[in-house]
Amino acid sequence: MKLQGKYIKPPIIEAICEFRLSDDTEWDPTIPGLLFSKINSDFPFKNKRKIQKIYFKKNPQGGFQQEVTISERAIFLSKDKKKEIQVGNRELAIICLKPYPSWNKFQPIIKLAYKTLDSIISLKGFKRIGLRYINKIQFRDKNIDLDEFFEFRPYFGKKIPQMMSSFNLTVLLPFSEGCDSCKVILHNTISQNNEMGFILDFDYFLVKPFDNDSSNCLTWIEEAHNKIEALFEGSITDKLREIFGVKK
Amino acid sequence: MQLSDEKYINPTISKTSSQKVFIIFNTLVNDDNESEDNKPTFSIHDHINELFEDLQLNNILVFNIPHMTAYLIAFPEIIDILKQLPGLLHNFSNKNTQISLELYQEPEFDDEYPTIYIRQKSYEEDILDKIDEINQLIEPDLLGMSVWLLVNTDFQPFKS
Repeated sequence: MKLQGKYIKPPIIEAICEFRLSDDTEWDPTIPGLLFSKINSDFPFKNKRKIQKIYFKKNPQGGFQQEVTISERAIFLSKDKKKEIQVGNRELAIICLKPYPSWNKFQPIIKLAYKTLDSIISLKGFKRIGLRYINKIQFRDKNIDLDEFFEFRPYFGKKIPQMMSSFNLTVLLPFSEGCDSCKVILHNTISQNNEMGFILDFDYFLVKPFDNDSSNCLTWIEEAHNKIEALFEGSITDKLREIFGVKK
Repeated sequence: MQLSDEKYINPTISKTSSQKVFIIFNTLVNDDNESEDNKPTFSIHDHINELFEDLQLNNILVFNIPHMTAYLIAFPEIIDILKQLPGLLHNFSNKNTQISLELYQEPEFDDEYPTIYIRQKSYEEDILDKIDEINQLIEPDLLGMSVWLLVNTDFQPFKS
């Protein structure tokens, strides 16, 4: 995933930039329509998606309480339907699906969506900003030696059997003195014809909320992108780079 | 494995490797509290995978997952209707029946749409009536959509 277009066959299946606005941001149901009227030359198709979120909250007694929320997001799709701008209740997300067009093309869409929303409402601040890249790495073989392809992989001592049929490795890496964090996940996945596939997922997010300032916000995203790029390059071996095909 | 207190005087975690991995405590991130703000950045693939997991938990098979994923990315509005299926199909939940989500390829047109296939080891006489009832239940939700969903049977044996 060299995000500037380093690879001939980049493994990115989805790239997402998501803003969750602070609770004091004024919001009303006409906002998605206003946003659409300003971006419909580039994003002419409309759709909607219900999002159900189930989460567990610790209650004062020490137990867990399940909460379910259902929200709806308006979706505005690009002409090729591979790029989306989603707007929900105090949420804005920009999504690029495979084939990923490079950071040079994704970043201007983020900027467009952010600046357009900022021109409609007064953005006060952010509860969370997330930049996420999901990669799917597919092999033709049925048995894979992880050491050959991944620098980020599960490790266990020699006395433990080394054969795995399934795994899911998740780590949370702190950045910027704990103000940001990146969740890195590697797991195997279902694929056609019993071939081996892996999801390598980087979700870099803002942990400590900050007030809106467009230059700060866009700089934060640029830095988040740089961190993810470095993490991705650090997670794979040259042998895997060869499979992606490095552009010369 | 000896777990008695006698073996370990001072239980510690030590690493002999030159490259050490540390875990630190971050008060800003609290994974115990899975609040809405802590939820991961929303992804279309997660949304679709959750649907597949939910269907599979309810014994509804999904065939050709990559193709189905591509379809649902193109037509996300059908996801909400597919989520209702486990509830609607619970009368078919028995060992005599296999339920699967597949993409039906229209032979005469360049078109495809998701189909729920009900297959049985020994077909019940009133299977078509039961299927009709389900189609009538989902039809109002499909009106005005650019996609269609059909519950059907091909009277074939279980598919693997």
